Amino acid sequence: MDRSQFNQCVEQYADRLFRFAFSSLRNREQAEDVVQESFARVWEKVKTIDFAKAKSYLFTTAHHAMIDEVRHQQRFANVEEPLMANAKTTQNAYPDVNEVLQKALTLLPEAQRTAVLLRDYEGYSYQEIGDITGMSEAQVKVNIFRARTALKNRLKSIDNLIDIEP
Amino acid sequence: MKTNITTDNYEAYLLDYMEGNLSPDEAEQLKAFVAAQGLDWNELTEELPHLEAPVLAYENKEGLKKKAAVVPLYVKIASAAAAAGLLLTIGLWPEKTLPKVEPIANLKPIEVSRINTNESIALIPRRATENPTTTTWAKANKTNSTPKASNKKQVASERDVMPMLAEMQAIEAPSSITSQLLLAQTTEPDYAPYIMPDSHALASYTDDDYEESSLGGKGFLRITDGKYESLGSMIQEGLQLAKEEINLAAADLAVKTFYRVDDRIEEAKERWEKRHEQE
Repeated sequence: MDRSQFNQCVEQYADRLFRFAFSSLRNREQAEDVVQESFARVWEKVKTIDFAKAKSYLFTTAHHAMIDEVRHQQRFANVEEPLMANAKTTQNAYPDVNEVLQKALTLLPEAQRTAVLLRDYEGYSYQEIGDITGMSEAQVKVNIFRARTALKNRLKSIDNLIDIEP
Repeated sequence: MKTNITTDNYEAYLLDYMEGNLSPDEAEQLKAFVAAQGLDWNELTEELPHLEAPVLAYENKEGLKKKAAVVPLYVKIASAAAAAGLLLTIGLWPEKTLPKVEPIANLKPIEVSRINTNESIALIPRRATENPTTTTWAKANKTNSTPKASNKKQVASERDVMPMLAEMQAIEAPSSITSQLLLAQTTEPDYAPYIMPDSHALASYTDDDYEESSLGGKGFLRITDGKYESLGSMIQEGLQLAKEEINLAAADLAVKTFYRVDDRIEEAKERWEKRHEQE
């Protein structure tokens, strides 16, 4: 990969990488750090990385960087408000489904969250997610199933809450 | 086909089932497993939510991008002038002042790090005033004999360039070059092999000897084949890099390195001549 291809990667994947990191960390600064670190590591090995595999390399690096970030700073409890451009505000009487899901994501175990984010946001195959996270394909599927089930239960509990409100 | 459904992986099979990836036979085996575990098939196979990617943007993409180093025209011109000047120096000065000693093929490559500047092996120039063409170099304190004149092109030997090398060892890497090297190191990996990372010292542009020629905190030039011409090849290589617009630092380095070394040699030459005149 050369410099122009590297810059092409920045253009194509910086937003996606930031979205991936922010959805896990819920902290803008930390997510930006993850993006910067991921691209910095790619640049260090730019000559040895195939352009076609750059995206996978970036997400793998980001995945590890996020694990380090979470383990060292233990900031999962310090959840920021989402920064989505289309995020609904708390002025709404009832929370938007996506908003509920985004917040529920932070409650998932890291392996489940990463697997479902890579699947739903990036459209990776189970095998590709396994390559990025170091899990087997079966483990990836188990984690995604559990993540979706947990999110479904979260939505159900919100529905129940709304139903009992006067 | 017999599946191997266990409590550890049945959820993976459930996901496959919901995505329509199981055969009817496999689906039946999964249902049987779920029933055997006392789980609710309908609840397990309810529609599951999928996440919708939020619209988020990383705001500093330009800061992540790497920009190509641009070689200004004046640097190219200066590089060309430096290279031309060096070739001129190589072609003319040694011919007038250095005696022919022995074929260059018989000489060992010079390794600067092995030079002991305290040894009295320096040569001093001895000018035959009656005939400038016989101006030559003689070994100090040993002989005043004038080597035979030769019409062949003179080649600097290891012994001849020894004092020059001794002078070269103390060339400091200017801060401006150091900063450019750092810039090159962070912006253009092609240039990394030519940089000594420990001291940011200057080195010749050959991959195989840049490590050997490291002197802590000092920048110097190494003459690898016993010939002063190797400086020329180094400059030419730096110039070539500049021409290809690979790296600003390569071109600038070539220019500045040339001038610094050339100054050193001129200074050394003047000192030796002055010393000789005093004697």
